[in-house]
Amino acid sequence: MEFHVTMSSVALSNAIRALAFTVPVCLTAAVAAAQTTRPAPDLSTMSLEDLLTVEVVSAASKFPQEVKEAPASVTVVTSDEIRRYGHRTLADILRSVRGFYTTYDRNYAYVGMRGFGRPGDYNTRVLLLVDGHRLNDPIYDMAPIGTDFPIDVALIQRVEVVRGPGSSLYGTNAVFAVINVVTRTGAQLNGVRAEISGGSLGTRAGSVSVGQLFGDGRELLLAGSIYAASGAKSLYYPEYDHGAPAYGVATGLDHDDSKNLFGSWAVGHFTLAGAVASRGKQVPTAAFDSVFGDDRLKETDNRAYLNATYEGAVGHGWSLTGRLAYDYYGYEGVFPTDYGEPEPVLWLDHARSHMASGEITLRRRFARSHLVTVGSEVRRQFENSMSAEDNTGSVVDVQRPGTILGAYVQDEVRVFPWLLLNAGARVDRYPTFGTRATPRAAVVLLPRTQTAIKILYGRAFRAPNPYELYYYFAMKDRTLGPEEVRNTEVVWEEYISSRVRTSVSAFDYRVDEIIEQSALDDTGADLYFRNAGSVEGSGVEAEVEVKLARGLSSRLSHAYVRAHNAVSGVAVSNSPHQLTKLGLQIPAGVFFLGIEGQYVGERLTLAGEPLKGSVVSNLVLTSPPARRFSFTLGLYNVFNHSYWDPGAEEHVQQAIAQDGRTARARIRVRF
Amino acid sequence: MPPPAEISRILRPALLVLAMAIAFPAWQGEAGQVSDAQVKAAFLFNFAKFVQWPGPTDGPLVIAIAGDDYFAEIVTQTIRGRNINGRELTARRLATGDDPAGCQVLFVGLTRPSDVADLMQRIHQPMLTVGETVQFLRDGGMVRFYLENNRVRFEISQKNALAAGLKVSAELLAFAAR
Repeated sequence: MEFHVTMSSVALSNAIRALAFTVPVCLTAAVAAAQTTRPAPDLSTMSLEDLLTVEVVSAASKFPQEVKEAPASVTVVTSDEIRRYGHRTLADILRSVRGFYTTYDRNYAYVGMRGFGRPGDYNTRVLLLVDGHRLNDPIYDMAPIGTDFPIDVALIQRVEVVRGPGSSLYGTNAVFAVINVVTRTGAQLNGVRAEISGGSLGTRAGSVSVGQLFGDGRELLLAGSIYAASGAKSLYYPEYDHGAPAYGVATGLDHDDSKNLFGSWAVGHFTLAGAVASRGKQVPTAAFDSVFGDDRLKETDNRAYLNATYEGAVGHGWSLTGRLAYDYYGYEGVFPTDYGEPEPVLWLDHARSHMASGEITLRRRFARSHLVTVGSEVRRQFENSMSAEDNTGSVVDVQRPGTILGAYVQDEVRVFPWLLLNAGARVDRYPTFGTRATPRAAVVLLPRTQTAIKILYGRAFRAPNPYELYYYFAMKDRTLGPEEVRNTEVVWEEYISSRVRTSVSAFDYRVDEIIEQSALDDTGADLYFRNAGSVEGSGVEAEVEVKLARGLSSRLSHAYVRAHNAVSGVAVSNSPHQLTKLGLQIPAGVFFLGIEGQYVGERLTLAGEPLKGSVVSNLVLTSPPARRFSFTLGLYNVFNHSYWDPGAEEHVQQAIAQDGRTARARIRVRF
Repeated sequence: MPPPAEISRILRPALLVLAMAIAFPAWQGEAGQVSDAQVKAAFLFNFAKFVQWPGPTDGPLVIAIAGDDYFAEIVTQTIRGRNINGRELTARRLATGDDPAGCQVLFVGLTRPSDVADLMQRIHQPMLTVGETVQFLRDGGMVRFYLENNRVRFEISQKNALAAGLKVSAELLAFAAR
């Protein structure tokens, strides 16, 4: 395999290129905006009856005040965008967001941002929520963003990506971003929908969803979906090419299957929601020292949760959000391993956790200008068990229940109509390392209604999880502390008109006490974790978004970042300096054409070899969703560009080839 | 595997040109296309005609818009120079934290349930509340806009209106979807 070493880019010329990119688009957008504010047709003389018949071309999206005044740089991806760009998973959605990139090793999908995406990291530094409910599991802290995400993407109403440390409100994992997936409600679905889809690589999926709004305002939603993909038929890995019998080719070993059930019930101020999901992935890369070509190498994740929320006013100006939840997570791994015996030995890995959690948040306005939020959370993990066995019997058997407590407070002060101050802190108590406090402060300046300038400082932490603390025998005499992050950021958002938005942000962060895997000796047999690494990163991001009433919309973003080991100064692996994303939604009659182009700059593998940058383009055609029949036709990686993602410690492969051009067709029926 | 051409070098400026080309139709402006904001603003104006507030019925009729500056602008344009039953119509933009006192109609353009609840709590006089969030009526709101088949529809909670002392005429109720 050859990796082409590109000429190193000069930082300055890249910054200039980034500006040259966005400035003309900004100018175009500004002129376009000036042209489109025409006087409204005189609808005020129309009768009620006639107004009900007026066809609006499509909903003109708003740029919500909450985004403008939020103490963070926020990106919202709507269900219209998800549908029109043909996003198949949450990973597809995140790939379209400024500054984010994903890595896929034919096992799990990993997300990186701001130049931080360590190969093999289980998305522990991003907090993933569904309707405010934490999804990172208690054992591995993993945020599932691929086909292991437990909710069908078609049920997503919007995805809120809040950049920066969020530990001052949410505790652990909210290091680089908090991603909240908001699901549709029964009333929004309003009817029965059935969908089937098929595509390249033996992909087939089906789903049924039912939504109902009852007379007294109660809403019910029930949905189920199944998905199966045979995956890439044959994958060649030269690292495993030792001649006969396989010659390094993994045939029919990329199978991916998942099934989900989701339901939500809303009555008055209460909402009850739950999901059950299972996902199994066959792993063709022979990761984790497994026998190459064995079709039993597979990892399965099972999730289930039930979440009850109360949201409403409780008198005297107080509003309350109360949450009670029960979570289950189960993991099964089968690893055929070569013990020197004629047949591979199966190493079986299991993990299971049961958790009950409760949270109360109170908000109240004081003295007209203070909005105070106070909250407290309890997470009781009844069972955090990990076990493993091979042909000799049990090799790992650990059971570590625990309780995590957190309390937080935040004050949003409107000092002047044009000046907002936001300060908050959270204290968490862990059974392992004790107490940790994380503060956050933000200054939001609003010199005019169309401008927001944000100066942000925040700290976050990532607590060591049971897997890192207890799984390996060598951890018996060792302890781990949490990772600590410090982040400073300046954001300038400009809402040129209601339809055009631009933003520029500059950030600087430092992550310390990074939990890294090490080996006691060269055999790799005695693995353990320790707080060792430190990474520093800084960069600039810019974005332009134009949304027109016709539905025509374009979004262009560029992110430039440099991340390096804070001690040695060496550049970090899997950290692209540049990320450019373009999205276009073009109405064509009643249809929509969604075009995406995503450039991921050069990245280093774990071994320090450079992987060429890649451009992936997608083309999707969608028909109006409100009709009885609707369809989506998508072509992904349209130009069949070959590109690789870096491999992790568990891979012999330095880089893992990604899929070429694939197609997907989806047909939906409404009853 | 043959190396792909330096696609990034060619595609990036090409994508930029494409982006500008796409924005080009915007240069032509919009012709005869109606946005949902314009229809909703017209509805607000109409609602004021079919609702009776308790107490004195003189003085200006104020429509407050919270959480959507663009919509506030559209409403201002729509009601310019109009009056209802001799009462002058004015629009008022509410910033976060502002009190909706002195308004007869309140449009809640906020999306977060906690923000909506927060604003609704600060209402201390009879006011027609109009919103768009899915649970707006359950939160005590009176009228809710939603889109169906690319047309703006609304639903009314007569119960919530009566509780605040407002009388909604039968004519308006007849046009409400549910």
